[in-house]
Amino acid sequence: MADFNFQNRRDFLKYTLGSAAAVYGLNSHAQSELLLEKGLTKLTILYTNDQHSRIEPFPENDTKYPGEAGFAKRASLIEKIKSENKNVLLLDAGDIFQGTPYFNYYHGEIEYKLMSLMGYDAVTFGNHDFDLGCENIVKQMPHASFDFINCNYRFDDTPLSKNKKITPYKTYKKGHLKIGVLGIGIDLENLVDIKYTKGIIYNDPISCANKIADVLKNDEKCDYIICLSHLGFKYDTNKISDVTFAEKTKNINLIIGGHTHTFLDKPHSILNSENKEVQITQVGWAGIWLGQIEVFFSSYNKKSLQNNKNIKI
Amino acid sequence: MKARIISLFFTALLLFSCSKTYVKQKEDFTHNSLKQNSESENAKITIAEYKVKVDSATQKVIAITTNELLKDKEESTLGNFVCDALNYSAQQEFKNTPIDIVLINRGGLRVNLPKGEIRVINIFELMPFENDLALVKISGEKLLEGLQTLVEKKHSFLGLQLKVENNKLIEAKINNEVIDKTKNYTVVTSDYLAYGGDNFIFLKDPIELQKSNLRIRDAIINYCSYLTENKKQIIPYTDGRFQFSK
Repeated sequence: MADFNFQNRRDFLKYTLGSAAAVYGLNSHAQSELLLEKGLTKLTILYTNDQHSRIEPFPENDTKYPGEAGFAKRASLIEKIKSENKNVLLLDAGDIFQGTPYFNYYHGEIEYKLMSLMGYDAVTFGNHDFDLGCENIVKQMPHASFDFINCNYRFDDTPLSKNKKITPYKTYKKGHLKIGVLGIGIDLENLVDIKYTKGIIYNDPISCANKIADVLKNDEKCDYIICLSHLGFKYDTNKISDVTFAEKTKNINLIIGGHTHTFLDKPHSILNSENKEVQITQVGWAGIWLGQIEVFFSSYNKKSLQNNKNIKI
Repeated sequence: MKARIISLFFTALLLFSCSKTYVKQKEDFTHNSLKQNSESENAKITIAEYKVKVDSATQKVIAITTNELLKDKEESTLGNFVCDALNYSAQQEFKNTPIDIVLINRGGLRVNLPKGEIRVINIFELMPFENDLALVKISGEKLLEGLQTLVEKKHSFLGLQLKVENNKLIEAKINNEVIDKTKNYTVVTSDYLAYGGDNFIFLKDPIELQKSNLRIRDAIINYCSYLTENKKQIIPYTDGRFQFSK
């Protein structure tokens, strides 16, 4: 059967809820309440990327982001969203480390502790997470109660070899939904001091991700598949980016990206290798925004509607 | 009427069919409609444990600038200041080796420095990376190869004089002399760049590599302290070492 796309939100609401007139006047919150009443399941995806150890808000005299960001503010917001929504997935696309003295003095301990306190489900590795080497990640991992997901690095000859917290993919049960998460990392050459990346093998993100996404889709039967990526949004050169990655992969619904510190107001849509839509998102850096995407699923677990509601911290 | 019922039936079928149905949202985008102000008490308690030590170490004033140091033009006041700082610290670290050039990558300088009081925290933000000061000796031939990268990426340097016209390098001198392919030159930089990071491939496999245990950040902090001890302020300047014209 051919893919069917509703032309717009109105059509969808009309067909789902029957009486269109009753819906149009409502705000998105009220609409979402109505959709839930009608038996649709909502998945709330919260995400960050490139937090760069910005534990405290930017100083009030900062020229670009005065008073913005801060882990304590984000923690409070996440707590609120989690109290109001059942199916919340909290993710990060890498570069948690480096950028303020908190990292230089404590090497990532406080970042992992606070992210555990906020209830992060999973993260992927960014290049700066290796700034003090694999040994340091091993040292900080006891402070992390979340999964580290990556499928294109091999750590066999590093202190991260056979580490139980690192996995190529993971599935999360949220209500009756099964969400698959995979992760891909950037080529570390030229980005990280080689004394710290010794032994890490970088493999082609596209072939690695296609293998894993196939498992998530066809073996694990996931309802929705998210790829955490630290490739970067888009480049002028032929370097692989989220955009080129999205075009050459399949079975992925959403790419949560990082590295290029790109603020995307709303997800960027691309057609994948099967001509199906995949979305790319990224929320700048430093935790200035908390990304929030709400996806509604029908009772047969088919994705049907999406709200994009990033929040300024 | 019958046709309408059938069409509705098919719509319902499609809606719950095997194909991925999906609607893009445009009109409902509500980004920035909320602003988060309250803070989690638990997170604040955790942060407080760490904050005391970080603050006491980083709030110390170490120098005064007469004006902002900016990474703006090809030759920038910030880049020149950092090169001076590395040059000063390298003379302390590599005492027996004369230094021809200092190089630092543009992308490695993360923030501008404000006018007035410079605290340790400012230098942390300028140079958060854990890289060490290094000295490499390379041939004039390799140095000439590397100049293209400097021009393209507008990196900062000391000891070289480069003239660029229409994005082409038309003149390259080292301490006011033409670069000699057959001579060797010493370059002070970070170990990250000395290993070829950020496409500094010309520094890779050098004739000689000396590494210090001094962080680049500390090299800058030491220079700030030296200026202050000698009652000097940081005066932003450019001297025409990197000239661009069309």
